[in-house]
Amino acid sequence: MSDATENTTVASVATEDDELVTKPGILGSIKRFPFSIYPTLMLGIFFFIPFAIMIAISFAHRTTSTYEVGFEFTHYARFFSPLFTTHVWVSVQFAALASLFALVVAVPFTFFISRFRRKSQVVSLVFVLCVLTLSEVIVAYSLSVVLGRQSGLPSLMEAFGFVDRAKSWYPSYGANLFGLSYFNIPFAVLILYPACTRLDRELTEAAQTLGASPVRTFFTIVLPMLEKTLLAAFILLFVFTMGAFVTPIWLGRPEDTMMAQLIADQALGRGNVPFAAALAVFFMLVTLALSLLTVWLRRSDKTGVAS
Amino acid sequence: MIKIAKIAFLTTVFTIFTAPLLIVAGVSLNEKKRMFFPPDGLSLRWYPEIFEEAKWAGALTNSVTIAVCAGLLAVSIALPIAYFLWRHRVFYAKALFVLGLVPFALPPVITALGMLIFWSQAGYVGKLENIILAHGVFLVTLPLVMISLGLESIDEELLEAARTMGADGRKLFTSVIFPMVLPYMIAGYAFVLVLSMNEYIISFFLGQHVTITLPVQVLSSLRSGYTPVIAAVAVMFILLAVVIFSLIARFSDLPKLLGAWSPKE
Amino acid sequence: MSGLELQNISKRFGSVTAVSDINLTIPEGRFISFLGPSGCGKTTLLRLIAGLETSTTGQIVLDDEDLTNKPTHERNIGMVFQSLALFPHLSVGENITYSQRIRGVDKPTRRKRADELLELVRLPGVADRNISQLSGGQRQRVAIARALALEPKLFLLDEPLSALDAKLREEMQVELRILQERLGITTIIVTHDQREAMTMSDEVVVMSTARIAQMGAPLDIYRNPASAFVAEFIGTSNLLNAQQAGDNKVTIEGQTFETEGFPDSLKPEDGIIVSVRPEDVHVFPESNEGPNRMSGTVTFLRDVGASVETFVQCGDVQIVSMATPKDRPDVSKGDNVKVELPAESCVVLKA
Repeated sequence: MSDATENTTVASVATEDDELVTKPGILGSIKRFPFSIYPTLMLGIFFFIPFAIMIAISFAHRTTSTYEVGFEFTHYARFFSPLFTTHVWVSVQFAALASLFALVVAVPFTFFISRFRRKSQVVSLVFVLCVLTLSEVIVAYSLSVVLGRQSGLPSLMEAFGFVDRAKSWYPSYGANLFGLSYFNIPFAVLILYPACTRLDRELTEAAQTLGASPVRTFFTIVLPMLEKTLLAAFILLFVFTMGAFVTPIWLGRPEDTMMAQLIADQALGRGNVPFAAALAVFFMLVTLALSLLTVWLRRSDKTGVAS
Repeated sequence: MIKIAKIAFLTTVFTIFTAPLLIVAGVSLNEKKRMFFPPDGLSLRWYPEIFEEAKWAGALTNSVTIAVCAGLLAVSIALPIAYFLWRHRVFYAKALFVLGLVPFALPPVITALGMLIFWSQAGYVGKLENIILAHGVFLVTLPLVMISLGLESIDEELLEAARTMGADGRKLFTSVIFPMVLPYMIAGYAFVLVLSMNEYIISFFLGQHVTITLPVQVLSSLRSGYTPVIAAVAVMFILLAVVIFSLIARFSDLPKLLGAWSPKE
Repeated sequence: MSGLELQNISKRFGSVTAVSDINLTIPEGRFISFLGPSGCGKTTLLRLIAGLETSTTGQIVLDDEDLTNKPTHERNIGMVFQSLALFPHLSVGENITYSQRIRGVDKPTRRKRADELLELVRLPGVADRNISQLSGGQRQRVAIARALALEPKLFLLDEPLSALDAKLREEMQVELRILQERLGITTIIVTHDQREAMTMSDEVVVMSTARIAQMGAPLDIYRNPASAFVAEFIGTSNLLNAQQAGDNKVTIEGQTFETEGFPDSLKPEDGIIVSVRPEDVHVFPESNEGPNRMSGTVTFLRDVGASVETFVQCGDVQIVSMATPKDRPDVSKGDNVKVELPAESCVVLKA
């Protein structure tokens, strides 16, 4: 924009990394703000310790009914069994496709609503938030109503005479994929929204004065500028979908079982807590690695969009 | 041309999102215990059952108790971390902040299993307070991010002005900082409230069929045989979300809470 | 005819009228400024010409071709935005030749054109740089080069220099005007800076609350403002409440003054204001009698080296006089003085 904006951009990027000039130890830090002992304890006891225990148990020795202290890699070794690999592969497929579909819908959708006037923008955001926060149980159930024989599209098809006898469209591969994508779209909208609002309106207008039609503008200006945000959004959605639990139970077939179900089944159904813990640890590491990647992607994107 | 395509696209998306919810609302009005759409006869009789039938009323009480308490817990953890980082800018505060971001970034099944193992080790399972604690920690990210946003938006000169007028550290917090971040705290609380009400997997793992929340009850009812009460509950959830988010939009800057670039005007 | 014609252009946003019934003809090759305070509709008018807004009523005609319903990307205009709107994901060269890329021009030709244009805006050799590596003034030049890449029929600039510091801005004004004269392209610039408008343009269109207040050559407007608004907005002016005293005379503070004449449209019952430019006002010691003078007391002297302003309180009105250091009146604060408002400098305006 101007020299001034350029400087503030540079400044804000600088503060992000350089602001933490003081690095007193943990005790020294707590002394500065004694009240911080409370969140430290809460997160420590109810977040850090459970995870530490879970990691420990993933190496424990399983006995017939429970487990005992030990240090073995048996549970991690089971990752290579076909049971595990097939379902991981199924989960990865579903997660990748559902994230992709969600983005294809969410990118233009978010771009449009970020261009709305403020009032319509707020209404759209309320709408998106409502759908986003709805329980997976409720969404899966609603979709099953739509895909079901008595109340949804199949009965409509029957009424119009496209089919003789309506059959339920779920559970099926398609129903599960549809459910996961549906669930992902509002999340995708919220991830993309900040970046879309940062796209200066004058940039797209400039492209149009230079002869680009709205569609050309979208592909030559909007998408390239959102490139890294899109990649980050894809990863976040991927992780989010990998954790889907109710949708595949309700809309998918048994062979569409995904990661979260696998963990729940091992821990609650079969009582194999150490294996479930090993799966969770593996899942957690992958998630954390991917999340760090998105943090890096978004940070490098921000400088590009803001200047 | 382009305009028509744009409107058609937006309408389709809005329709695809609203239709299932409207159909569920329709189904909840069925007179008989069937799942027809359009509904077979109109009746509101399934709604009171949420409050009258023991299993639904119990689940509702549990869910509301958990959501209300988890919200308070999450905000109480988030506020000191956000304030600590904003005022002191020490490495440890940054570390606490990041630690507060992690739970929400992880798939909930991981938190669910971690907490399940923790409480099994402690020999204290199936309790309501376990779910409160788990939700409070799992959802702490939302108020944390929002309160930080609120604190960042306070102009440093405002604080300096208050100091020149004689406010000490404590007065500064109670008379300037707290009132200014209050809307963000409330928004953060409301987000936790709604998400906790809707959360399934952590409640399912930690409830152990003893403490049952609404979403857990919905799924188990779905499995054991259909009743329109389920549709009625779904409608209630939708209304709850609509009311709360409309209130947030009414009383605070929703685009800003969701990370919009502050508009130039 | 060739040139730009705006016929009965209006634009309403809901209940707000941003541009109201504008008629304007701009001959080819002219440099025009839309000048006015913020919110007067000047930017909206420019955006209407660019097609970035659609007018509620009226027609836009360029070289006998009706542009009114043409989308922006088919209008062949070059525009420089307030934020400059340089694409951060493209290099300097790619920014400049974006319009050629859209039209399918091949890479080597584009490259050649980028170098030519950078030469034109006196910024050679930066085609491969990133936008973020340029200074504010350099970005300015890149934005101008980009807008000129296709040799458009119209060159539009929306407060393009507002982000530059004062000194650089003045340099760019001169440079921009020289460039425009060389290319002979019809140019419209939107600005709220009267000095900028007067520096660059053949004609200034002064706007106020969605309408054209006055248009004409910069000096004509300065010398003969059509209203108090224009007199105050273009330069500074002493605006004095007055009464008609017949025979081209007016009464100010109970004293009669000669003026240069009344406007033709003025009716005897109309209230009037007299505008006198500070540089036309002379200050004399009290004993110095003469026509068109009034007595007052010096309340303040602003001496900034290049000029001296004398603030004189005459009854209820304050009159400011400006002089060069050479012609500085020999008075000091608190002195009783005589102020002369020369008849040929007293412009009578309808109140």
